Amino acid sequence: MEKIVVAVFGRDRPGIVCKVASILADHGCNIEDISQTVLQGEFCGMFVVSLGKGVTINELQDILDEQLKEENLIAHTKPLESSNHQINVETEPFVVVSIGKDRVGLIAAISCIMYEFGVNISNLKFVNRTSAFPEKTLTIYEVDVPKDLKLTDFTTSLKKRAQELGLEITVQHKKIFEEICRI
Amino acid sequence: MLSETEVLQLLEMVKNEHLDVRTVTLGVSLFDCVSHLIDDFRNRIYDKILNLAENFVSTCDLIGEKYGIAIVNKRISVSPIGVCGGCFNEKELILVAKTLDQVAEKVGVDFIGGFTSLVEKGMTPGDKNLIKAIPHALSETQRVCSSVNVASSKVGINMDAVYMMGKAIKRAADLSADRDGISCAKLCVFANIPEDIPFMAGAYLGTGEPDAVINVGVSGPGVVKKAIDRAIENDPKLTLGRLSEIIKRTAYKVTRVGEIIGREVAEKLGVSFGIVDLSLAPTPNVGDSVGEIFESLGLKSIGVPGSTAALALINDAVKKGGSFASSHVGGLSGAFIPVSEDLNIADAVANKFLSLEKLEALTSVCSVGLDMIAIPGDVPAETISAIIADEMAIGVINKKTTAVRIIPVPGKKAGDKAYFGGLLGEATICEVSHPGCSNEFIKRGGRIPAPIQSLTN
Repeated sequence: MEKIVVAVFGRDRPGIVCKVASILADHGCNIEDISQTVLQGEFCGMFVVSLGKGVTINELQDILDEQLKEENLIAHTKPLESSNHQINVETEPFVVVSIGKDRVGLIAAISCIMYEFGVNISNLKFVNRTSAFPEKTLTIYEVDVPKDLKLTDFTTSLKKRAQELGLEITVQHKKIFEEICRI
Repeated sequence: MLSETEVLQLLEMVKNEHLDVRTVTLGVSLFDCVSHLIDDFRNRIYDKILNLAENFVSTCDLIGEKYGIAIVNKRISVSPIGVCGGCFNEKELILVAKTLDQVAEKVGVDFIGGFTSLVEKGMTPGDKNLIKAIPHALSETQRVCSSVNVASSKVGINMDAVYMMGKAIKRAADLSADRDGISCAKLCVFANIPEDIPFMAGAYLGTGEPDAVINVGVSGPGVVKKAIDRAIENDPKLTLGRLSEIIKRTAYKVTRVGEIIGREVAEKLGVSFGIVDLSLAPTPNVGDSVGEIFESLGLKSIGVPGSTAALALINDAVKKGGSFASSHVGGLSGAFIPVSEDLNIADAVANKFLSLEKLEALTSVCSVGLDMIAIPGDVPAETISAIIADEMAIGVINKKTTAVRIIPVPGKKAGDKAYFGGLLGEATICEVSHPGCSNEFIKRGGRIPAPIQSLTN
């Protein structure tokens, strides 16, 4: 069965998931995975679905466009591709946290160093002005670090760049957070 | 996905509350190094420790980096030299200490413990030689630590050994007079010594232990204090029962760090993992103090009335939280109250909130004993022995570990300051009341019998 990805954007309000899921159900599409997030009131949802019999991806795109238009929602579909990223690379989960004053290019600088080292970001959270750091931004990168990578090299590069940008940065294995904060 | 709170909580603990692993200690058995030829024995010790510990420090550093938690001290403990070097004379045993010092320096650890004898019931000629060798062994080496177990709840107190230790402490102080008797900071006299202590100066590898083992000592008084402060800020009417719960939860987190790191170091070195010693071990830094916890709980200073109850509460909560966090808990496991090593406790002595007598009372509920206490240099050996005997009695009767690490500072009197430097800190010298009034009692010697509590079989 053909699998596709459906992304939906719009101003957050009650009923978005209900609307999208109902359209998918009406056309025999089964939802296999969903993730949604809301940033500053904007909703973004991503659905992985297996297409129903008798409907193609293009037809589904048209149906979504038509039925979501009146709700002021935008949908985008694409076929699900099998991942070819780091298929044979064994990795370990690390958490990189950067704290500092907001400015243009912070995320670009740090994430590009991660890219240089072949480190994949699996989860990313950027928080502006938290209660703990009212004047600063906090970025939490959950990353997969290849096992054969020398951690010191990666950490040193990150710290060097962070210093230039006036950021504090820490790199710690994810296990330590899980073990300490969760029983 | 980790929550923002979870991430910030750990960052705060590491950055502002001094969360670290105080020591990872590699225990090395020396039983297969035994020889009646002194040079053979020394070479075998050197080779075995070097072989096992060559990558010990770098492995600890790598794992510390991986988790973003500093392993402050890397140390080694060995089988009691009094047992495996029992055929040597005093001079030869000093040479053994020097070999331990050399190999410790070579592998980059800051202390090596195990210049030790277990004499609670009696002394072999080797034990006597070792005790006599202690003053020179400690003053002629940098990194060697010594401990002597003179009492246990099962057999009582060996008062002959207690007297010898009083004299050994005096002599060790005199031999390091130029550094305020610092050799005594590397010497502990014990009742009920555990076989797996990772902390110095008491660390040695017990006779029932494996060939090589990793034991971990955690820290974290700063983390506990901040947790209490935060909780009280949120709810100023918190009762002691609720505060105990907060200490317990915090001790869990601190101990968990030690467990993860210890297991990984052991795995990487290919040796077995022993225990986590879930102690609150302070350093002479603001915010890393056991004494400050007393103030957070509402006492003006450690030492005022209420301090023993507060320490009992802290010690118990630390044990409860810690024992849930680790599969194998051992060592001393509790709150330490080392005077010179804790800025706040040192201040309490200087400001006369804390006396030797109150410290002795506190040791009945803490995990160690009279620890890092500077006393006037002219206190006679017999009085030091009597202080040791009192402390041993507390341990023996209460079926707990107690120890004495006391420094008679040569040429200085009560109220003066003694400076030891580094982690050992500095302290105002405590007054010892009625010196010289215990001589006859101490000189009687013999063994104080095992208490009735020992008849448990």
